[in-house]
Amino acid sequence: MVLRLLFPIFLIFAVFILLTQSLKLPIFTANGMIGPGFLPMVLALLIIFLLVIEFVSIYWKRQQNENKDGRTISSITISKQVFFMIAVILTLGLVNVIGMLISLGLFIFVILFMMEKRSLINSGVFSLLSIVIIYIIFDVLLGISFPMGMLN
Amino acid sequence: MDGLASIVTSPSTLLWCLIGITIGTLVGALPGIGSITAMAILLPITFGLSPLNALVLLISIYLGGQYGGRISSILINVPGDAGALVTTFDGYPMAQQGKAGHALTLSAIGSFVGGLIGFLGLVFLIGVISNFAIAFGPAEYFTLLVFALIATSGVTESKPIKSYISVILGLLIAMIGLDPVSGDQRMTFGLIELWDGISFVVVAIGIFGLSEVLVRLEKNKSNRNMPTKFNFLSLFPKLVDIYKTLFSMIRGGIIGFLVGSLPGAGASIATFLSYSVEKKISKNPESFGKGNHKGLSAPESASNSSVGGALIPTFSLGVPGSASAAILLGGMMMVGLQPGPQLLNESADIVWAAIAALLVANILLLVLNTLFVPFFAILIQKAEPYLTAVIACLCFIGVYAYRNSLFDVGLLIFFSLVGYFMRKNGYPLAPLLLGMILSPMLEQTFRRALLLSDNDYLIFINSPISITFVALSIIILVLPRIQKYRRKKKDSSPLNY
Repeated sequence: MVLRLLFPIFLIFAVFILLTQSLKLPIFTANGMIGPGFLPMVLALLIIFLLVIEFVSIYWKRQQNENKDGRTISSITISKQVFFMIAVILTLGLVNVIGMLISLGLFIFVILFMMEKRSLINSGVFSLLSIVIIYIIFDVLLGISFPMGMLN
Repeated sequence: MDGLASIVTSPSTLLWCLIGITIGTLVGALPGIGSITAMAILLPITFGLSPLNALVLLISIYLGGQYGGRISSILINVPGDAGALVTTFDGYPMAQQGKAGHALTLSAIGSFVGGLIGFLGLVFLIGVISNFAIAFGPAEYFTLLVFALIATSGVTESKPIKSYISVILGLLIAMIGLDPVSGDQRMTFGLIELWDGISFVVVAIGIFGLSEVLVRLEKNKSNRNMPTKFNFLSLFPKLVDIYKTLFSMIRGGIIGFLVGSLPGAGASIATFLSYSVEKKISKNPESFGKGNHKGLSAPESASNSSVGGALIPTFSLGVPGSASAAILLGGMMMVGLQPGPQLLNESADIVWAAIAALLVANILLLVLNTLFVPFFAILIQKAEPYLTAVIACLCFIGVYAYRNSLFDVGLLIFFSLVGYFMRKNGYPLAPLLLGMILSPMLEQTFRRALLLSDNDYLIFINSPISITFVALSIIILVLPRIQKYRRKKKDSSPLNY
């Protein structure tokens, strides 16, 4: 239940930051027309208002024991998800070091070998094939060049 | 008929049509690429072609891209572009139930029906619709967009507050960047990477694609297994299934054509409106989002018929009906055609031949896509263990390929987490994307209308068109509440005991 309250709180915080940014802009221009800050301010205030209602609604139902928690997620699943996100972030970090193709190849290999429990050869062959196909389709055919990192 | 004859009797024109639909389908299936990028990348090819072949090629890529976008939507829940977003609602659940082939064929047939309606509408109504489209000023557009947002963001749900939050959040996120009028930096936090705003493609792929991977990781391997055996016939829907969805395809086609004919409206609004209508009139609205055939076929029809609709203002007024039509317009000018009211008089043979290309491309697409269905169905079954890595990879590349920006990939990661937690907390994702798509036009029409009326807000209820949309919006907001109140009163009536 605490987790269900955290998300609206996070959204309120994020939108509040956007609101403070929008208040730095002119709401109306010199000739009375609406300025660049008008609509962002209105929308941000509206969202905060609705999120507060939602927060109160969740808290009220928590008091009334009406709201049932959804299916709980096992710690194994959470660790898989965390592992996956760390792998994605590391891949992004490595792009400028070893190039996008190699870092994506490593990412695919790690996910297949460590998460999907495929064999070493299977994972290696699939990741190698994948980066070759990606290179042909995107770089050669579509002309979208990838960062090469230190290999440039 | 002369236009059709000039295509069918010319082997080179037919060949360019075939090349266009093949490339459009393949590129449109790549997440984040879509028909717009496919047309833009392949535009230089048209330089050396005759005006007819160039136009046929571009229209074929346009149509092929629309078809292709649904493939990744159905198979891996990553929309190829904005118009393919609604396909994920019921197409992906069908694939998860082991009916990927079913979904692909049904959407191909829906697309064909929609394309046919778009073609017929273009041929017979080009004059009528272009006159009506001229009557839409900024105020009319604004009220139309508000109506579209309310009608399609699911506010008719029993707990609409989360839909409201989602759609307004989308409107707000789209306003990050440089203000289109004054050039002021809005909510950019001083980051130059945010001056161009946050791309719809990044958010769509993040909240639908990468967050889907996180959801997949929650399912253990036994839940993820699809049926291991299937026969050829099970890949295709039965004729009775197709017949049952035929009227929804026709409805979707008409909606798509009419909405597509409004400049700037495009396939995304058409598909959302069509989906919303089908859900509203359905006897089983709760089945939408879980693999409902009408939820898939109607928006597909709307998406393809919007192509025909978008060509009306493009050809007759020189105003692109959609972003892809804008590239088509550029291509037309490059081969010496001058879009505008005189185009139909001065280059009638080329224009009508290009319109006929819509019909030919549509037929070819239906045949080719249906033939490839067994291949896709087998692929998705065999590739199950590899999907996590492949989807993540495609998301990564799709986002990078859009603007060649690693910052966008960072945003992708952020929005994948936002999308995941939105799902866990019951916030609908589609309204957020719809808000993002419509936000620029909404703001532009709002500010333009006030500029024209010298800050008089009554401009939004001055014309019959605006009043109609305002009234429809109020009805959609209020009617479900009245119905709910009546039901509650009826349930608590002493006569019920």
